[in-house]
Amino acid sequence: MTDIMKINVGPQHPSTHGVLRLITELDGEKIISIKPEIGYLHRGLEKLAESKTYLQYLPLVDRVDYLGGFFTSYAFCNAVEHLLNIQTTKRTEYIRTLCMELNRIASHLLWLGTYMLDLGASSPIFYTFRERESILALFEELTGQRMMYNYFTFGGVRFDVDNNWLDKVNDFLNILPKAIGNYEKIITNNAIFIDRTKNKGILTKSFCSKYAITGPNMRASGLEIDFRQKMPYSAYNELGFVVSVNNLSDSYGRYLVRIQEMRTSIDLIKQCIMFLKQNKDNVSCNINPIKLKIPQGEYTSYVESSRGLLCCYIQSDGSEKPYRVKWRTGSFYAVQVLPELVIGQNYNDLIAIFGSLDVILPEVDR
Amino acid sequence: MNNLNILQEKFNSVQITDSNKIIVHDNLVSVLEFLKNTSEFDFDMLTTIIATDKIERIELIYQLYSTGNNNTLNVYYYAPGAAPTVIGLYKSAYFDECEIYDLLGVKFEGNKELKRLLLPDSWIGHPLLKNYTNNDERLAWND
Repeated sequence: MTDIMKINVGPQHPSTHGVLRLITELDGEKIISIKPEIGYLHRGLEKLAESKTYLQYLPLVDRVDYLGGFFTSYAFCNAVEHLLNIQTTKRTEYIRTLCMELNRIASHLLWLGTYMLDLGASSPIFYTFRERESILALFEELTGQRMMYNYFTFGGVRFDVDNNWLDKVNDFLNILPKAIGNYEKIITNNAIFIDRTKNKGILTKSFCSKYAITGPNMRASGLEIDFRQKMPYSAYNELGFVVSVNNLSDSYGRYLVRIQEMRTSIDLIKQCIMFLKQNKDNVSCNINPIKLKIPQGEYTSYVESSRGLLCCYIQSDGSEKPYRVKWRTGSFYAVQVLPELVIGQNYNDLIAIFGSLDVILPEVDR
Repeated sequence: MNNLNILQEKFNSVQITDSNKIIVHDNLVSVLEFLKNTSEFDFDMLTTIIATDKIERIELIYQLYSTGNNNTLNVYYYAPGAAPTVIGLYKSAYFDECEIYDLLGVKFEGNKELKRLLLPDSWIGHPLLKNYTNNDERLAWND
């Protein structure tokens, strides 16, 4: 019997993608207890909503998840539009879907690169960031921003896309499948990678529902639930796609789901481009966002973000400021399930398992 | 959902407002347990708990999701200052309950490890309450 050693992993740990403290107790190298401590990145986004008008709050919603700004801004705009009872044009929804799917690829690429870095493989991040950089350049050209886009507005999007930009997206999509193939060549069958991820961090189906785990983490446990398909929003009910799912339940399975999802996104974007090239609707509704007053009511929008189910709940009391805004994010619940996955495991598997859940701390703390 | 009548037969005090909104006045845990374990409903996931300060009381909305039937249900419960814990049914509720305790001061009876989640332990007050004031002039919501 060795002495129990208590160590703090974090808050400033290079592998936790944000600021998270894990209070860990070790017996030798075996983890016997672990407690996640969150709140280091809490910015009071829900409180700030009370003192801002809907338009003033709009740029802030991108900051809920800085790697998935389009998802959070879609969730907020969708809820506002629903409360206002306005119908957006088809072109708007296709542009939004295109942006969200590109965003999903960018987010998964960043995850892939940093996860490999967590596991000690330092080259994949250069390849994934090369492709991610192309996406950010496309976003920059469209919105003027690389990460905090503030592009969706109530009833539309800020700028229309032109065929020139769509061609550039198309060119990028022609390169991407080969790039993903290259990642797979160096990662999927790599003996060290398989050794560190196969049968590690088993997340069973019952854990998923008990701990409200959604997104790729859930689909890697054999639950075929994708809110793009289950509760279609935006343009998804007109697009055809196959939900990526497997039964492996381990870190390796979660990796495979994300790789497959990037391929699915490519198909979805291609369908969007085909539609946008033919359609010439306008991309805004005639509402004045500055004098916006939302009728009394409440609405929750359900969005499948790259990290699971994202909900934005708005309660309005009829004034120009929201009465209550609540964000439900996928990572908040993925942090909570960590102790179930790592207790009894070796300490060096902690980051390998935690990284596979794709937790982004700003999204946890809001 | 048509079969919400089954729920009303079993619990008289449950009020059904529309197809996916019900208001529970008492026995919250038994209602949720019934919704979770009855095969017609099968609400096996608690996606989130939303708490709102309605001045005279706190409104709690339990958003349920059924992975098998792909249904959602919002269960409303009004708590004057305390509510029963549901972590026995849904383990994901632990973080939610801690967050609501932290930001709105609702005590969840039976949750033994209730603590501040996002704010430091030394924080005074519960920020999401409408009467919350903080004298720190740097904070944006004072104006």
